[in-house]
Amino acid sequence: MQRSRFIAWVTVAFLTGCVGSQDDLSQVFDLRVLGMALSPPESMAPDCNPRNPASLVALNASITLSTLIADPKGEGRPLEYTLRTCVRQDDRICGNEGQFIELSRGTLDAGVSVLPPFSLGPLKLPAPVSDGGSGFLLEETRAVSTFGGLGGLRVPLVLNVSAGDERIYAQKLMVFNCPIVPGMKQNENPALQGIRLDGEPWPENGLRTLTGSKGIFELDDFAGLEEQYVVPSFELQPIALKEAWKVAWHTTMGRFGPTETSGVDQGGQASRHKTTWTPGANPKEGPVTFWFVVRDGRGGESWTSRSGYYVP
Amino acid sequence: MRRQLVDAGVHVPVLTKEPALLQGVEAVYPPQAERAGLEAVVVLTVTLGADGSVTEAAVAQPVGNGFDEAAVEAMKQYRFSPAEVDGVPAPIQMLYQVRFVLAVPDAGVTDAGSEMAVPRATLKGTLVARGSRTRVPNGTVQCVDQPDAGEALSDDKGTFSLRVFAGHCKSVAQASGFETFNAEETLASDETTEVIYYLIPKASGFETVVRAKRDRKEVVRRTLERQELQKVPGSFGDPVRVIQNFPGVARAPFLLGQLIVRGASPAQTLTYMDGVEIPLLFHLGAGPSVVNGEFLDKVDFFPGGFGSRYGRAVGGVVDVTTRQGASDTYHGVAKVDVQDSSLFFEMPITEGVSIAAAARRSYVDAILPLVLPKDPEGGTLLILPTYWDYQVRLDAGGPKGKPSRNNYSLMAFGSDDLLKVVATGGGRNRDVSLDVHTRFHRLVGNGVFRRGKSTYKITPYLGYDNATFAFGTTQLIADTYAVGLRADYTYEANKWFTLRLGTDSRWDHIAGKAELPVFSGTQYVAFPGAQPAVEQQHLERQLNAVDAALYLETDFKIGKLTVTPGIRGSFAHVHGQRRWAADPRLWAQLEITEWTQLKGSVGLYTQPPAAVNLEPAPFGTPSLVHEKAFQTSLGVVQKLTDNINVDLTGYYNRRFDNVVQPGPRTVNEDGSVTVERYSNDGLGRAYGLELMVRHEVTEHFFGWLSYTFNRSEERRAGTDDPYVLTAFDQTHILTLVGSYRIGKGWEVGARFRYVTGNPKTPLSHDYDLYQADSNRFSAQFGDFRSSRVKPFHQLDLRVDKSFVFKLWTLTVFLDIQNVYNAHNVEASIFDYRFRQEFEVPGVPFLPVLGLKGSF
Repeated sequence: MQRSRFIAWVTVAFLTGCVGSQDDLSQVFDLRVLGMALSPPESMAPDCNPRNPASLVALNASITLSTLIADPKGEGRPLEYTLRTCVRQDDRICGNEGQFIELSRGTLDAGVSVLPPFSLGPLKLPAPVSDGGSGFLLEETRAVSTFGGLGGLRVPLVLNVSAGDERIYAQKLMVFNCPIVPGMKQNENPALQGIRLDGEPWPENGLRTLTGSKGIFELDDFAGLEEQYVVPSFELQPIALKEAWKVAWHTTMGRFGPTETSGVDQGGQASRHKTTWTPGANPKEGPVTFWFVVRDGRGGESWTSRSGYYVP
Repeated sequence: MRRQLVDAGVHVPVLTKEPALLQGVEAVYPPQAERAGLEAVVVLTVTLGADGSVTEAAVAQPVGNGFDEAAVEAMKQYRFSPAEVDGVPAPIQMLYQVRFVLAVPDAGVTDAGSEMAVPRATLKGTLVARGSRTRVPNGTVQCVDQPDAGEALSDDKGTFSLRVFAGHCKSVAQASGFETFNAEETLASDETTEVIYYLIPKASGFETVVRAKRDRKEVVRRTLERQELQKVPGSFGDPVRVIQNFPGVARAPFLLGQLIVRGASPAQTLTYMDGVEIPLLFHLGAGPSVVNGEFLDKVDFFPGGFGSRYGRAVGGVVDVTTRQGASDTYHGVAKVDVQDSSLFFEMPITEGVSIAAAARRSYVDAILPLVLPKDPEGGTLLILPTYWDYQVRLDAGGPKGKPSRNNYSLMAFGSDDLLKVVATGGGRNRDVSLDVHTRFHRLVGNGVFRRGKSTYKITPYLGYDNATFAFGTTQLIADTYAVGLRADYTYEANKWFTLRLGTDSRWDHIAGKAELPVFSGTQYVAFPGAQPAVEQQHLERQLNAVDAALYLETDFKIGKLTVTPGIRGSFAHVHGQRRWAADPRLWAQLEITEWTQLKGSVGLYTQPPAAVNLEPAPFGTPSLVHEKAFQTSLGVVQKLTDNINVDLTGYYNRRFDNVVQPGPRTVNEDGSVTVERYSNDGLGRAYGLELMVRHEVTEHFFGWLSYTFNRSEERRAGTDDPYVLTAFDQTHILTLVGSYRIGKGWEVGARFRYVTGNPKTPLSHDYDLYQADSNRFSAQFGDFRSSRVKPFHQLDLRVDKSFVFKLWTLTVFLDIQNVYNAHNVEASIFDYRFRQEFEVPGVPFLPVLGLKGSF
């Protein structure tokens, strides 16, 4: 019956091709959190002995959260925010009573913001979450982890951004890891190289005029920057992997198709980092902003943007 | 009689020899009618005793004017050769025509006394069914203008020979189930005139009807006969799809062929063909069934409470019974519609040996490229769904109409489905290559031996299944080789005791190979976000699985009460592990009156886990045990008229040890994690009421009303979670089916369905929930499956027009789904931020035209 499920899935996918919203991930017309990057994206202790002072240093390291927020209709309004941490990944708003810690709050502007740095290692929850738990954030995270912390302690950080009647809870995972199998090393944030529009390089500060009914966006090759890394299997054997960066394409006018490009799928089939921008129906002359957010698939994230001017 | 001699091991009486007229008595022409110049045909329902004598004759279609009484009086003096059921003389009931025709005085025959002086002639010929070339036995031929010349009776080959006076002959040929045939012949003196009379068949219901009672042990066993199988609107002429219109079966979405029976998952209802399990019933999940409809004799559907002969299922059972080839002459059927074409052919090879064969091939793969949009940037897009199937059956045993104690058959059948998708180059961001291939073949032998009160049936079989899935560099191939044996023995000691016992055993050798990426989430802890590039891993498995079952049932008939206790014991050996199961079952039937029956059942049903699911973690769970269901039902069958009966059944099923995902996750002391894929933690319960009001196939009409009131729920053991509705819980399922034969080759049918919408979980959006690592949004939902999509209603129509030629019949049919284009909802989808809900529409107005030629 697996086959029947597959056929059903294909049928639904086929039929839903003409159903649903015309809105998609690439179209930015209201308040959106487009990216959250941590520095560092992962904390790798030198070994897995928590009593090792060097490991404690890694656990207590200062962390910085950068955000990319778009608010094209906000006309520069201030955005209220709070940043919380908690222990359960399925607590999408870090709202379980007594099980979260507020890290900061205030206002920020649309665009790129860097929030006050924080350290998660020493933090203690108002009350223990697990039976007989210490209440320390990282220990409680491990206690409630389905896999006992294998794959790293993944501590949720939830940014609550609101303006007017719009509210977003955005969750980002901070990973605390140790080399449980040989070859493990700390992750680094990915970084896009160059952007090309219709085959021509588009430098970061260059303003381009876009015309016509579409534009072909491509990325300069970054295959050499995708890190090879090692994770432990459930049997504690090393598994060698290689990052396959996924890029999300956003625009304030029209849309991208596809909205995301990525390296490989489950069938090992490669994707080109190439997408088509279309200005939409009845486009009007005006400025247009593009954001390109890259994710390495294990917590690393960064972005770049371009500003253009569209003339029909 | 195109009928299987046994019905899936459960003995069903079959007419093995038709009665032949030995002595006819001319009815007295009612004087008043004769004076008035009236002619008539009286149809009688005639009951024959085991010795062939007429024990009862009743007028089925009164015509008045004294004809009815005269026909009954004459019929009481008829004598027939004994009819035989299962090779032994037995009483039967049949329809018979008595025709009253006024004799026309012939100038050439003026005096009976001068008969010797009048030259004679011979009229020889063959009676053939117009449009099908079937030979018509037991038909009478006479020259009605020569009342003293007597009549001739056609033999098994339809041939007759009539000695009459030379000259003019107003010949009349009559046979049960056919219109009276009239012809004018001029017969030369002392010569033989050879003719072929093509008799026009009446509706299929108007034929000899076997009234011998079936051995119905199950509380609910719904049987579809051939007439119903191919004419139900909305089923595209597919016999097996008709089951979806029965009580207890939930409506499957779109045109899918899933059978969701009394709340069980589709995988918990098994499909058999001639008693041998087959892996799939429909091509590509939503296409036609894998057996040609012309090959079917009948389809039995058991929504629950089935006999001990069946096992390995905790839901329902479908048993498709094929038929043997024709024994009179060769016949064939060719069918063409928008998606495939099929051929069916049958013929006798020699006395007592016949063969039938069928094949089908789809051509959607040839049509799709014509309608798919071309890639302006020169890329390639191929979507190639193809399927084909075949069936060949060789039968040996008694020829048509003659008894045989033993029958043998050999049948080979198989099916092949391929879905290939290739999208490369052009403006595409990603090349996609998908290849899903499923095929199976079966070779089934069958021997039925009758010795006195004993009947033996032996069914050995061989099977080969192959499933291939390829997506890019990922590839899975699984070959299954099966050897199986079913053996059934029935001993009918006397009218109050019957014993049935048998075995149902199979051995599977499964060889699997896979080229797979290391699975995130299955082999290591996944991180939300992009899929990393991984090296392929090569996996290979060889495993043997034995599943052997023995069953025993006995019928005790005490007065009007029949009690059938039964037990089925099975032993499975998979992956070096042993599993035992013992399923006690009990049925009872009380015949309150000849027209009213009470039936009840209670029993345990088990289904072994699939062999591959017992793989070690992380691909399986070695500790899986049988899924189990405790099924109970109680019903009443009330016969309202000869053709209409009502069946009302209540049921309560408790399912436990259901296999569910995910399995347990255990963090070991060394920090490693054991992630099992499945567990037996599924619990389920289903209860409801099923009503079936059915009008049997008659000359002009068949149809039924089916209504199900159902509640099916599930939960996971070991949690505090309450029971929730299953995904296909449908409270009210109403289906009305009717097909009416207008005449002149026209037949119209309609199906109307009203079904409660499937459960869904309501969306509740207060704010956006964004996950930055995966760039995806989460939904906020209300209580799980606490609301429903809107009710489903749809009307389907079917019109058939048959053009009957001398040697063949052409049928044009139009099957229209959703005549009034109801906007039904099959599912819900959401925008990417889960702010809005969108309805996925069901099948729109969809006409399908087809052609069928048969000879």
